[in-house]
Amino acid sequence: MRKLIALLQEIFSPYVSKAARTYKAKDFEVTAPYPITAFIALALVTIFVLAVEASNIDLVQFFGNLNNMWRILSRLLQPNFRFLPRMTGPMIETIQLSVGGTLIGSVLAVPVAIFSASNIVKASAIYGSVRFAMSLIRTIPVLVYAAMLMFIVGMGAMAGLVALSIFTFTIVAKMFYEVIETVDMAPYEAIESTGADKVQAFRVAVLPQILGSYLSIVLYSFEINVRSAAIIGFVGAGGIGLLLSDRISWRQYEDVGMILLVLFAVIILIETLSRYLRRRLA
Amino acid sequence: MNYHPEVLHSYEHRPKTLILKLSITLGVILLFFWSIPSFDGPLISESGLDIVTRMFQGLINPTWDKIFSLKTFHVPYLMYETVMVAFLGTLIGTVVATPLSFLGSRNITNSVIAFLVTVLVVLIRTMPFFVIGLIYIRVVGPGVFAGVLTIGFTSTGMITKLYTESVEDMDKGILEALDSTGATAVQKLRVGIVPQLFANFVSHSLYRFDINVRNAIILGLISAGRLGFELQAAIGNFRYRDAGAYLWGIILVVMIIEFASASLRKRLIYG
Repeated sequence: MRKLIALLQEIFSPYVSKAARTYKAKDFEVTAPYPITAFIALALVTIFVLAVEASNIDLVQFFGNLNNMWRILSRLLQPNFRFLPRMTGPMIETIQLSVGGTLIGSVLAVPVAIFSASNIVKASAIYGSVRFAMSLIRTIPVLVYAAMLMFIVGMGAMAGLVALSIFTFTIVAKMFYEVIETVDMAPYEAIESTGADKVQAFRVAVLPQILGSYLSIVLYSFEINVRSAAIIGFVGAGGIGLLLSDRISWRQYEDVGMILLVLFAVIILIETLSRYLRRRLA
Repeated sequence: MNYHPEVLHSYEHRPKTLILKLSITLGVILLFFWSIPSFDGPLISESGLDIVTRMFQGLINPTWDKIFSLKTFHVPYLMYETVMVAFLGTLIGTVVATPLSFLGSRNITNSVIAFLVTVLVVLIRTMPFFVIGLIYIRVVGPGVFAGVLTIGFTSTGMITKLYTESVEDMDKGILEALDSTGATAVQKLRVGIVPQLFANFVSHSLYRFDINVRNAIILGLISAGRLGFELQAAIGNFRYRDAGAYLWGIILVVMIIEFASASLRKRLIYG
């Protein structure tokens, strides 16, 4: 017991007294700052307890049904190859959606990106408000857009296309204006001084500097879009996700395994292609 | 006007890329028409347009007492729950990823094990997280707990990948220096490895935490979370003012966490 008290004293004394944190030598003394590690640890433990309480954790049920999960997983690992013909259509639709969404969104993003670049638009009121509006639009996840668009344009691929376009629009606009802000403006000013107007000067002096990065950003967002397009069907917005959720609800896990296998191959293929192109661009 | 002959020469012999440009433009246009889904009728029907205006009205004038009340299942509580789910999921991902990332680093283990871990990571990362979510719903039933498990599972992939990169960048000279002083394995871990990796690891986990908050919202759309679920239900039942309140909740929680995660990461990396 005495040992325990001594230990507690040693642990807590740095928080209580300044003397415990002060190290004295012959002609100087140093006071260490409060040790914050313990506070952080305490905060993390508190959050952990609150989080466990908030998320209705039921470990009994989890471990009780774990064999259920192994059964599903083992069925996933035996893909049903006869399902292949039925999924080619939705798979192509998924790629179409991601291509279309990427193209529409990245074209629409260009003017917005120019208006949010502080070196092109000098008025901070304009670029500030454009950026703020864009960051508001960007916070809403693409699937939430898709779920809302279900009610607006109806079920089907169109909702997915619009949702992916919105997502691409926001992310390309953000990444592209950051690129525009890094350009060297000296050529632009030089061209302007020859009497060219702003558009001409932009085309000749700025565009060559940013075109490569723009294409690279577009390809990057295309990679993300393929992944999103694959799950956007779960809320009813077209693509392979519709079929996936259908097969899961019918408990046809062999079919699900087949879809996942093809999806895996397609995603890897597209990523490899896109990364190759991006390396060439850089 | 007189041009310098060299300038004139290089201007006249500039690369002719017209055909290339034309074919790329044509290709992109064809790709565009190929990719647009066929649809009949107008893009937005009259009722759709009506819903858009009502949603905007709902955003401008949401159900204020849902936003400002601390009752269970009102907006602040749902935001809190979303963050908590993301926190637990990230924690699970971090705990699983830490040993995996050491196993997956080519400078620690042999290349066969490292390769197997890489394959596992790629598999986890390409699995659409709604599929995982629905599988967990089959296991533990719909609700927030399924969301926690899903986020934990899907985070493991990315966190392992980021951690592995940090471990592979680790300076092993320090470990050799400690070896020469006769330090034990635990001591080597304490003074040689932890200080090098801690900031990076925490920063990667914070980054994933930011993504997980969005995923926790989205998982509501398949009833493995509550914020997304309530939003969908509100629009489906024509309660547009409530939908506005939930949308503001989403915007706020994503913005706060994005800001907090980014500034904490900046402090961790730059001190």
